[in-house]
Amino acid sequence: MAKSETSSKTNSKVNKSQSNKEGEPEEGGGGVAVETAEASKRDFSQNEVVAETRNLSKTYHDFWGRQKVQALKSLDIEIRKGEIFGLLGPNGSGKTTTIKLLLGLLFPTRGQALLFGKDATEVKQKERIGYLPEESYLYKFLNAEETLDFYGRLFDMPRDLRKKRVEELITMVGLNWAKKRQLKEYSKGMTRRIGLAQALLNDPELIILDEPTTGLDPIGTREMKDLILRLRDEGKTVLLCSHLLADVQDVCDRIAVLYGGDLKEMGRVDDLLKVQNITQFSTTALPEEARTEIEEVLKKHGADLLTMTNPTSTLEELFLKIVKESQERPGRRGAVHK
Amino acid sequence: MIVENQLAIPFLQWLPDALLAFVAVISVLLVLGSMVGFLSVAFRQGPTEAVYAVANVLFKAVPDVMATSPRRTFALAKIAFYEAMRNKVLVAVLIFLLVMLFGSWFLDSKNDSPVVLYISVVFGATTYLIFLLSLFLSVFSLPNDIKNKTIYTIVTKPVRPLEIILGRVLGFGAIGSLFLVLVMFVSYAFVQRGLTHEHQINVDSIEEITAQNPIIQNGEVIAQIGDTIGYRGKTTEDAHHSHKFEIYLEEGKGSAQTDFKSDHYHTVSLTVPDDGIVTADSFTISPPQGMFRSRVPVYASRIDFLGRNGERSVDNTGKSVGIFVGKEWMYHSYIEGGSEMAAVWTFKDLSPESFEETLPLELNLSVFRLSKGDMSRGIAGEIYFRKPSSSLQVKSEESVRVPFIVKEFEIQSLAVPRELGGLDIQGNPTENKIDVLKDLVNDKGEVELWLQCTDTRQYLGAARASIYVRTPDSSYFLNFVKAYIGLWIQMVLVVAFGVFFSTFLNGPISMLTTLLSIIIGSFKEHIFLIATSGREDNQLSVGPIEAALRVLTQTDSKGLDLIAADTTNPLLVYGLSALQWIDYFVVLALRAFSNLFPDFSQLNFSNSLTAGYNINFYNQLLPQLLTAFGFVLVTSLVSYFFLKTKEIAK
Amino acid sequence: MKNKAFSRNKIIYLVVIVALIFPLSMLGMPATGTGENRVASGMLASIRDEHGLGTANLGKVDPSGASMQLAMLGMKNVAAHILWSKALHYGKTEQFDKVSATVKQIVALHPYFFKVWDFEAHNLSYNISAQFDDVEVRYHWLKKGTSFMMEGFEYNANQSRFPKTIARHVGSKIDKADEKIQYRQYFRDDKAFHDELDRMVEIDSSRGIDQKPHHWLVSRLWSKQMVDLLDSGKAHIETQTPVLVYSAPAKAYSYYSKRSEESGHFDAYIKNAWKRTERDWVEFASRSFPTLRGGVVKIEDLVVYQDQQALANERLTELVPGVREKLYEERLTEILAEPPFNGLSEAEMPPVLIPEYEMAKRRARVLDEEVFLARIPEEHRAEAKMLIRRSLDLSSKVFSINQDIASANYLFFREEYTVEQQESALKARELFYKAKIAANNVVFRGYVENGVQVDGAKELFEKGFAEWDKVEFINPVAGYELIGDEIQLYWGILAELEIQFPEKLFETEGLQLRYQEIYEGTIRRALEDNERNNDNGNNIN
Repeated sequence: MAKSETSSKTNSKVNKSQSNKEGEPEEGGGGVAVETAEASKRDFSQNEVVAETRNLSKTYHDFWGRQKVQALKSLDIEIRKGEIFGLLGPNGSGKTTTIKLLLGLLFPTRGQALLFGKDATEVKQKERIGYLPEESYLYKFLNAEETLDFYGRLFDMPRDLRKKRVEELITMVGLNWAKKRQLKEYSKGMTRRIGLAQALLNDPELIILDEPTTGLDPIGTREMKDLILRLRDEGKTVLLCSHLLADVQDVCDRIAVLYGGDLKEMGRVDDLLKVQNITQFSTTALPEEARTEIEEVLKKHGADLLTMTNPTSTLEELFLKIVKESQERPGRRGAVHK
Repeated sequence: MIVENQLAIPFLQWLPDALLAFVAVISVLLVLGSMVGFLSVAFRQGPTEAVYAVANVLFKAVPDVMATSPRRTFALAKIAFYEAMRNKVLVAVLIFLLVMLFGSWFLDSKNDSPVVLYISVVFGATTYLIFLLSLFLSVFSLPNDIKNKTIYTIVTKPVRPLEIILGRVLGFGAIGSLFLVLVMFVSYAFVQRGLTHEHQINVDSIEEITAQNPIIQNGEVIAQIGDTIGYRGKTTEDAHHSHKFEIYLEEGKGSAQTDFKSDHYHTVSLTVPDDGIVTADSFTISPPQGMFRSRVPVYASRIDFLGRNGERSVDNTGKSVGIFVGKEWMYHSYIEGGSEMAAVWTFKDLSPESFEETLPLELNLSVFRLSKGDMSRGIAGEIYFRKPSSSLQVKSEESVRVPFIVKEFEIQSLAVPRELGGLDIQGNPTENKIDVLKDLVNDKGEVELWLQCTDTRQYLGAARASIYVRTPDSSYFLNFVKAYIGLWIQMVLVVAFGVFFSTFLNGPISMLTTLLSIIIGSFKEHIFLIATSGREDNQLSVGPIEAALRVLTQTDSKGLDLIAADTTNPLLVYGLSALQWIDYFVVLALRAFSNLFPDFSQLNFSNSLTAGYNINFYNQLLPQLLTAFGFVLVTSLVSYFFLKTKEIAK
Repeated sequence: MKNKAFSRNKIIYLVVIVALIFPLSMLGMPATGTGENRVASGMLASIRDEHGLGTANLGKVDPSGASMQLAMLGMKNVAAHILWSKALHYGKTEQFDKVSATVKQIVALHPYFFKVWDFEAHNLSYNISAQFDDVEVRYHWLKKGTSFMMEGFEYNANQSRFPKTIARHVGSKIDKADEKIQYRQYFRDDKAFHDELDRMVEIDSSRGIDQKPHHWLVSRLWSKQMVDLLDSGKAHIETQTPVLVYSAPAKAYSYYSKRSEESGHFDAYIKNAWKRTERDWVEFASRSFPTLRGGVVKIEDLVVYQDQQALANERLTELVPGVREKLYEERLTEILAEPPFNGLSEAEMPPVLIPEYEMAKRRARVLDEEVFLARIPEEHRAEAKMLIRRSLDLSSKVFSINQDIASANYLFFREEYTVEQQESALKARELFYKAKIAANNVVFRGYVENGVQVDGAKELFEKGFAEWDKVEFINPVAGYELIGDEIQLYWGILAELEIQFPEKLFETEGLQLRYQEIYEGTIRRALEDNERNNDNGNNIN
C-alpha cells in the first residue's frame, strides 16, 4: 500500500520558508513530502471515551404536545480522549443541538448524552470541561480581568491560583493591553478571545467549541486553529462544530456529518477524504523532461499520470505571508509580484 | 393609643410550634412537588420513566445542595449586585423617593398627631418604594440572563442551581439593604426636622392662681386666702396647636409640664422678677418633649375580672372577661363603677432593685359612660395592690387605695410610691407603711394590682396591656432601626419570591405573580379571616357557594344544609352535599393557601414607633426573622428544583 | 411590483393623516390661559368648559394628590379600597389620629366625589367627637369635620351638597347637640376658626349682637352659598328636595333671631332681626317650586289660587245649581245599596260602620266629569267644562303648595316671625326671660322687699301671658305653640307651689281653646296615673 499521505496544504516550498510548526524531520532539499504530525495515523480508537451519545434524540413539541421539529434523530457518536472531533453540517442540521445536549443545556427526548461516562446534566463533571459558545455570552459590564476572575470563582479556585490563571490566560490570548477595558468595548475578535480564555480557565480535559472560526478574519482563524492543535498536543480532547468545512478539514481528526438531524457520515477525516484511487506525490522542483520517465514508471505499476503541475499555495498562506512581511517591513510593496 | 401586637408571645414559647409548622410545610411541599413532577413526566413518557425521573431528582438533590460553595455563591451575588447597580430602576426609584419626600412637604401640618402622620407617611412611602425596587430587580434578572444566554457560560461551569438562586437573593438583598440604610437615615432626619417647633406665652392668658384655703406646710402657714400661689395660662398657637399650663410657685420659682397635645408637651418655667410683675418674658418654654420615646413596658402576666358578686367572671371559653358594653371592638372588657367589680393584673418578678422609690405605672384605660354626668371632669378610679392569695375572693393584705382621674385616649402616667399605707387581712390599717414590692409579693414573686371604678353608672374598660410598669426608655433611634429591620425583612421576602417566580415564568409574568404575592401577603390576615369568618377558634367558615346562595336568596336565606333538610328529592340532597363538600375544600384550600405567603402586615412596626413603644427584639423581631428565613429557605429550595429541571437552552 | 403597491399605500396613509390633522386639532386643542383669561380654543375644550366638566373646572387641582395618583400606577381604586377598610378598622379600634391620616390619603386619590368627603366629615364631627369626654375636645373634632368639608368644597366648587353640609355642621350641630351651650360659646370666641371660615364666607356679615359671629348667621351664609350655586346654574340640585334646600337660609335666620332672644335681648335689634327673618321668608315664598305635574308654583300665590278656585266653584254652582247635590245623593244611595251597608240608611247606621260610612260619603262626593257634564244643559256645557278644568288645575296647584308648606314647616315659621316682631310679643318674651331667671334662683312667688313688690316667677309668667294675649296672630293655635314650653314651665312652678293649674288663661279664643285642650289632656293623664298608682298600692297625690 502506498504510503498514505494527507493532502497537505503545506507546499514544500512554503514549508521551507516558514517556521516548522509541525516539526518534520529534515531530509534535505527536495524529496518526498514530509510527514506532518497530522499525516501520521493517530489512532484514538483505543482511548477512553470522553463524551458520547447513545440513541440521542431531541424533538421539540409545541404547547399541545404535538411534534414540531425533530432536531436530532437517534444519534450515536463517541468522542475519544486526545482527539479533535468535528461535527459538521449545514445550519439546522442538529450540531448545535448535540452540543447543547452534551452540555446539559437541553434534555434529551430519548436516549442519553454522556460526559465522562456520566449523564450530561450532572454538575460535577463541568469542572473538567470548557465551553466556547458561538456568541459571546459574557457580562458586558465587567472588564477582562473581572470576567475571568468571576468565572474562576465559579470553579471554586482559591485566590492565588485564580490570579495566576487569570494572568496566564490573558497573556495567552494576547489581551493584556485591554484587560482593564469593559467587555462592551471589545471587538468581535477580542470577545472571542476572552471567551476562549474563560473556556480554558480551569485547564479542562474536554473543550467544546461551537463554531470557533466563524466570523474571524484569516489571522484569527489561523490562530484559533493553531490553538486547537496545540490543545490536542497537550493531551486535551476537543469537540468542535462548524459549517466552515475548510477549517474543520484542517484540524479535525474525526468528523461526524449531520443533516436534518440524522448522522450521515462519521469517521476519520483522512479516511473519509481520501480519494482511494489517486495517489499524489509532492516533490522538489522537477524538470518537464522527467515527466515521460515518470509516466513510464507509473505505467509499469498500472497507473496513469493524471496531472503534473506546480501546486498552488492557499490564499490563506499568501495572506499570512504578506502580513508577516508587512510587520517586518512596513510600507508599500517594493516589487510587483507576478 | 393601642398598639396592636404589643403582647407578643415569648420567644421560647413560639419556637416549638413554629418549627412544627415549618416541618409540616416542607413535607407537604415535597409531597406535592413530587406528585406534580411525577404527573408531568408520566404524561409525556410513561409512569415508570416518571418514577425514575422523580427519584433521580430527589436523590441527586441532597448532595447537590450540600455541595453548595460559598465562593461561587458570593461571586454570583457580586454579579447580581453590579447588575442591579447598573439597572436604571435604581435611579428611577431614587428619583421617586425624592419626589415623594418633596410631596410630603405639603403634608397636612394641621393634623393633631403630626408624629403619626410623618412616620406613617415615611414608612408608607419607603415600603412602597422598597417593594417596587426589589420587585423590579429580582424579577427580570434570571429571565434576562436566559434571554441573553449569558446563563450558558454559567451553567456550563460546575455551578449548582441553588447557588444561582442564593447568589441572586443575596446580591439583590444587598442592594435593597444599602438602599434601606440610606433611606433610614434620610427619613430619620426628615421626621426629626419636620416636627420641631416653638411656642411663646400668650400674654392675655396669664392668670394668677390664688389660694382658696390657707396652705400649711410643716406646720407653718405659707399662704393665706387670696395669696398668689401660682400662674396659669396658655401658649401661643404654633404648628396649629397651643398648650395650657399651671405653675405653682415655690420661693418665686416654679416649673411644670404643659398638657399633652399632638404627642408632646413642653416644660414651662417661671421666675418671678424682683418687682413682682410677671410678664411674658418671665416664662421660658422648652422645645417639644416626649415626642420620640421608646417605652419599655413590663406587662402583667395575666388579667382577671371580678364580677358584681365579687367572683371571677369568665365567658364560655373560660377566659376571664368583664362586661360587654356593645362596642364592635372587643379588646377592652369593662367593669362597673360603684360596685364590687374589679380588674386584676398579676405582675410577676418585679425586682425591687429596678424601682427605687416609685413604681412608674402607665395606664391606657377606656371609659364608657352610661350618663353624661359631669362632662368637665373625667371618670374617677382607684387602684391598689394586693398580695395574691389562694383565690381572688379570699381576703389578703392590701395597700391603701390610690385614687386618680382617668384620662381617656391618652397614655396616663401614675407614679405610685413604693411605700404606701397598708391594710391587713381584716381590712384594718397597718401601723407602718408597707413596701409594695416586698410585703405584698407572694412566694412565687407575684403581686396583684387591682383597679376599680368609683363613679356610679360609669364603666372603665381595660385589657391586659392597659396598665403596665414602665422601665427606663430605650433609645428611639434604636427603635427606628428595629422598625426598619421589619422593612428589611419585607424586602428580602419580595426578593426571594421574585427570584422564585422568575425561575419558571418569564419576566413580566413573574412580576405580576410576585406583585400578587405581595398583595396576598399584605392581606393575609384578611384572607385568613374570610376563611375562618373571624372566629377565634379558627373554625372554617361558610364557603363561597353557600355565601353566593345566601346573597341571591336574601330574605329567605337558608344555608345549604337547611335546604337539604327541606327536600326529599335524593338527587337534590346529594347534589347539595356535594356542593357543601366543594365549599369545605375551597375554604380549606383558602386557609392553606393564605399560609403559603408571608404576613407582611405583621412586619410593619411603624405603630410601635408612633405610639412610642420599644420593639422587643426577642419576642417580636426574632420570630419574624426566623420566619422570613424559613420562607427564603423554602423558596430557594423550590426554585432549585425548578431551575434544575429547566431546559435552559429551549 | 410589491414595492410600487407599498409606496403607493404609504402615500395614501400620509395624505389621510395630514387630512385628519385639521379636524383633530380643531377638536382637541386645549384651552389656554387660566381663570378669567381662559380661552378655550378647541371644540372639546369649550364643551368641557360649558358644562363644567374639566377637572380644572371642578375646583382646586392638587399637585401632591395628582402625583400620588400617578404613583399608584393605575391602581388608584385598589388603593382607595384598601384605605377605606383601613380607615374603618382604625375607627373601630379607636385610633382616631390614624383615621384622620388615612382619610387624607383617600381624599388625595378621590377628591371629586361628595360621598368621600361627607362620610369622613361625618365620622369626624359626629362619631369621633362623641367618643371624647372633654367638651372642648369634642368641639375641636367638630371643627375638624367642618374644616374637612370646607377643604372638600375647594376641590368641588360646583357641588351644592358641600355648603349644605357645612351649614348643617355649623348650624344645627352646634345648636342642638347635647353640649350646645358650650359649643355656642366656644364658637363665638373661636377667632382662629372665624379666620378660617372667612376665607370662604364673609364673616363680618355674620356678627351678632355682641359683635361676635353667630353660628346661625354663619350657617345662613353657607346656605346662601348653596342657594347661589344652584341659582347660577353651576350646580345641579340632583336629588335634593327643593323646598328644603331653598328654605335653609330663612330657617337659619329664624333660629338666629330666636337664639338672640334667648340670650336676653328684646330691643329694637331683635325686632329688626325678626323683620329680616320675614324678608328671607318672603323671598322664599316668592320662589317657584316644581309640582308633580311639571308646572311651577309659588307659596305666595296660595291665597290667590284658593280664591280663584272658590270663584270657579261658585260660578259652577251658579250655572247648574243642584246638579252636584243630586249626583251626590244618587251616588251615595248606590254605595249604600252594596255591602257592607246593604241598604241601611244613615239613621240606622251601627257605630261600627260609621268610619266606613264617612269614607263612603267622601267617595260619593267624587264627581265623574263625564257624568256631570252629561247632566248639564247643552248651552252651559262648554263653560262648565272649562270651569271644571280650571278648578282641577287650581286644586292641584293648591295641593302642591300645601305640600311645600308642610315640608318647610312654613306656617310655623311665618307665625313666628309675624308674632315675634310685635311689641307685645317682645314684652312678653322679656317677662318670660325674667321669669326663667327667677325660677332658676328659686324665686317662684313674689315677695315684698323694702316695701317694694318683687315679682316671682309665677307673677312674671302671668304678666307675660297677659302680654301675649295682646298679640295679633295669623292662627292663634299656632301662636300657642310658640309659648308651649313657657306654659309647661309655668305649670311646673305652680306644681312646686302646690297651686292648682288655672283653667282659663287667655282671652284670645284660639289661644284659650288650645290651652284648654292641653290642660284637659294633662289632667286626664294625671288622673289615670293616679288611678294606676293607687291600684298598685302606692299613694301619690
